[in-house]
Amino acid sequence: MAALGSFLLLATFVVASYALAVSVAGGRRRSHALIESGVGAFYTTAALMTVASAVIVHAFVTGNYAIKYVQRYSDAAQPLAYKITSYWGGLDGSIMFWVFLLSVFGAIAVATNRERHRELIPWVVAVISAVEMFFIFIMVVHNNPFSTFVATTPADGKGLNPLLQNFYMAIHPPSLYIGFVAMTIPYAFGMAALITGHLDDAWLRAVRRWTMIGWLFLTFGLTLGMLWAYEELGWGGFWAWDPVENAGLLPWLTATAFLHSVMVQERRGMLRVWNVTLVITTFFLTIFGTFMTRSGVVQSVHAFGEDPWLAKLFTGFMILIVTFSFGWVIYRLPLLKSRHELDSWVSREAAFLANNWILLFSAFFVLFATMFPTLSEAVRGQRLTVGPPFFNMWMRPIGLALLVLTGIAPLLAWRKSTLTNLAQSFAWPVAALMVTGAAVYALGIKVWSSGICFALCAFVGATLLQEFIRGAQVRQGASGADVFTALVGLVNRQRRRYGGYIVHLGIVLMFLGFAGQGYKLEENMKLNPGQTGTVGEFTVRQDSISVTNDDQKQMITGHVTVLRGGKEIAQLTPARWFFAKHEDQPTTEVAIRRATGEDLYVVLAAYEVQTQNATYSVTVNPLINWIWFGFAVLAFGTGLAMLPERALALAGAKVPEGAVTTSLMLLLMLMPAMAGAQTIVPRSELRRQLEADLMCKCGGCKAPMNNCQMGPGCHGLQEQHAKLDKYLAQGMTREQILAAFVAEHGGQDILAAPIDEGFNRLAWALPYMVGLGGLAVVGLVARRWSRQHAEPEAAPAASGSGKDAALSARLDDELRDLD
Amino acid sequence: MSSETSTRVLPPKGGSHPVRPADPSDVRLQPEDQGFQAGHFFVLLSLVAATVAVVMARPNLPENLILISLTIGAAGLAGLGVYRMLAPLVAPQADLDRQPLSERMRLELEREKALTLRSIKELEFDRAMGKVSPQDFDDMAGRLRALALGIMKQLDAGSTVYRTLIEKELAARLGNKAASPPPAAAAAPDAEGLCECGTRNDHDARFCKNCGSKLRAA
Repeated sequence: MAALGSFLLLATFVVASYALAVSVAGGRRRSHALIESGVGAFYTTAALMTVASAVIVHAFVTGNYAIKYVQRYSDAAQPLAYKITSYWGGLDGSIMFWVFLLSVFGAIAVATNRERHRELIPWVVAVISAVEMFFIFIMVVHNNPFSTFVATTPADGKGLNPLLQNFYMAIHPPSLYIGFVAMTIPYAFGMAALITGHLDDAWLRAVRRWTMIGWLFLTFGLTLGMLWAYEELGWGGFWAWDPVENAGLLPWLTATAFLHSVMVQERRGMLRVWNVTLVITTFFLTIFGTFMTRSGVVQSVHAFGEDPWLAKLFTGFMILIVTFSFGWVIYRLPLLKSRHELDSWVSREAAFLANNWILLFSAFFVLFATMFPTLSEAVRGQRLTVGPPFFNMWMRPIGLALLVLTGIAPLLAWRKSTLTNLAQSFAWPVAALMVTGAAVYALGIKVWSSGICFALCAFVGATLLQEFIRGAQVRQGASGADVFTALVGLVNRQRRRYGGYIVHLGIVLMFLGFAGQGYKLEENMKLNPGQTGTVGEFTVRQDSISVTNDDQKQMITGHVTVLRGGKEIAQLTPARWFFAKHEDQPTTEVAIRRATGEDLYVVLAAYEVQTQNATYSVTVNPLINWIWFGFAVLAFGTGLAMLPERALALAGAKVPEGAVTTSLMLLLMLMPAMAGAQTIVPRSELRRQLEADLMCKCGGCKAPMNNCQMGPGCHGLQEQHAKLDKYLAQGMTREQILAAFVAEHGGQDILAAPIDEGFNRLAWALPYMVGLGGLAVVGLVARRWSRQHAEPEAAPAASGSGKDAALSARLDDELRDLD
Repeated sequence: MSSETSTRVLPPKGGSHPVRPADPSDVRLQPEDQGFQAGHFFVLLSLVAATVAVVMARPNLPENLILISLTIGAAGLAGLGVYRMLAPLVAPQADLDRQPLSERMRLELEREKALTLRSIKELEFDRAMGKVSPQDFDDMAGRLRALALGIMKQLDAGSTVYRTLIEKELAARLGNKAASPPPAAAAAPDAEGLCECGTRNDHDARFCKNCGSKLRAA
């Protein structure tokens, strides 16, 4: 079986190289036979990779431990579902899964676009085949998932990492990989358009749906990752700005920019060079993200490991991508000239320009900050840590700016907005902003970023509501239908636009969830049976500790009762699971009581079975479920926008009222922080801040002390806490304590964020300087556009006025029939 | 004709279902009634092989049997792919210039037309919402209308080609030795790469980037 697998990989490489060569020859010579042969070879690649995937999954399912990859990531006791998902559990298999997905998607993309974009197809096949060849080459020469043990075959496997034996982890990697791989298709079509010189808008129409599919799956994968981190890691949060997390975020940011700027090209024939650049950059970032997580250049708990050979190979491939792609862009610059000028800064085109600037700035900031530890090690010989406190501080204003633009852009007119236009469009949204801002201030909501976020969410929500209402009124006027029918017809007929608005609504709801993090409450409490502890409105009572076993693991479970206002509202069972083959990696099984306004999140941090005592880490997470709900709304909106032209009945379509939702959330936010009961371990504000500033020493979690997934039971964490106790008792200040930790550790990487001085300032200064520079460049380019004259449009050929008049009349009939 | 129905498979204007050309060099446009094809062979072979493998497989757990069947099915597809890879190299070269619009091409053009009409309606909506000024509307709508008219001309030209091919086929079957009409819709550009469909191409283009017709050198 292993030999068959290796043979299949080799055969796929040969067939892919044939597809590349023949497609290039066929495209240059316009030989139908060669092009068809190339397409046939392309389909064969997909079939061969399907066979290879089936072989490796079969090996997992039947427990063929002669194959090293199977032995490393599976065992006999593992449930069937996780045996199958082990396919992508390790580096070798994940690369093969990538090639499998790319070959299948590529085959679908070619099959569905063969007729309309005939001239592009040979080059699309060539580009995708080249990418496939790169990954297959890695497998064939270095990371073969089918390599076997030479001497003795182990009787059983080591088993998949217990942290990955989780529903979300089973679907999170495929979703992310689908997102990454789907971005190769727009890149291939973009390159084909550049190579053939067919740079009209046709290639955009071919790739828009693929970009949306890739974007949706990237969003889904990122959200699943957040859900997994929240439910499985036990630190009460969902995003740690880990390098692997950032690797998924980077192409998401540039793909979002592309989905917006493509509208400007379609409407106004502008940003043509920029759109091609975005497609190339998005693809490049998917490869760069893969490089980051597999080469060892960044340290991450999610990374596959360190491999200098792989690092060199990926570096070479990335250089080739950049040189080849931008070489063609430069060569075709004359064909990419903009057809129109920028008439006004107060226009939708300008808003989209600003949107693109912010998204690209975000991507650059995240990329630079992620690579900064590697850069500082290379330049100064000292590796730093750039953790959540740094990212949260500098990304917040950028996120808020993006939220503002989400509300402004739909209100502006194409080309130029008049003052009357602006007054009519902005009145209600600005009123909602002011009212919410005043309410936030009056309620004494202290976290500035969350307060501003609530006000901006109201602004954007009001914008969206206004668009739906006004659109329904226009439709009512045109069709004479009732308001509900008009609304349904409106969304049905303008799916792309209103699907996009629903996506924006999803983003608003997710931002609400993010804003709630500013009001998080957390306490550690050591409880004897019958004792209680209080966090916010909730009281937690310890009942008992139980110990159970199954084939795979031992489970230590805490049983607690949750009360609010003296009334029992839930029974929770937080647990620790110890897997037989991974005793050093116990998993944290979090108990969550979910509600619209907040989650009560309980982790079993430590326990004494004999005395039935337990230490719990209890967190109240306000508004967090709006993040997951917001994603569901976003996914619905994306699905709606992607629907084909055939009509879809939307009876019962509902649009949540953004302003009302925001007010309700504000009311739910009224939870005064209560003093801890006697069983709560007291933590001062300084201590909480230091726990966020210092990294855990255990080395496994690569997280700040307040995010360590091992919980209070972690030995590295306990050492850190003991030192903190000592320094705080001595009355040292924050700076003194941080300096003491750095001196003891022998390096600044014990800090979650670099000390803001000297070379370290570059971590935020350079991205912000580049961002401001980018803004200046955008401004200059926009000014140059606004001064150049528009190209006259090509007039259609006049082949007889009678014939044209008849055609025109037919066109008018068809337009009338559309309603 | 409403473009809401445009994505259905439509017969050409003549009313009869298109008779596919008898040109054997066109490996894509094969007559529907040609009988046993390569795809059928590989499917049958895969079915037989999968049946044998499933009967002989040990252990006969459901997941094992499903995977074996999928593997053999994929292998059958790989075989078909190899056939598709090699067959065009041995078949006579098709003449691109004389190829009529295939049914799939027609559907793609119909879809393109529907999208263009949808864009015009969106523009009208934008004007009603005050998002586009009247002169901008005239400018943008004019461009979109020209594009839609070009596509409609292409579709009409394609159906003319089908009619010509049907006449040729009938003439051949009835033993009529009259000379066949020349292929339709060889585009005659005015100058500077302008095609009959209305698309302006680069000055050195040999084929129209919109409809694929051959352009006469300027």
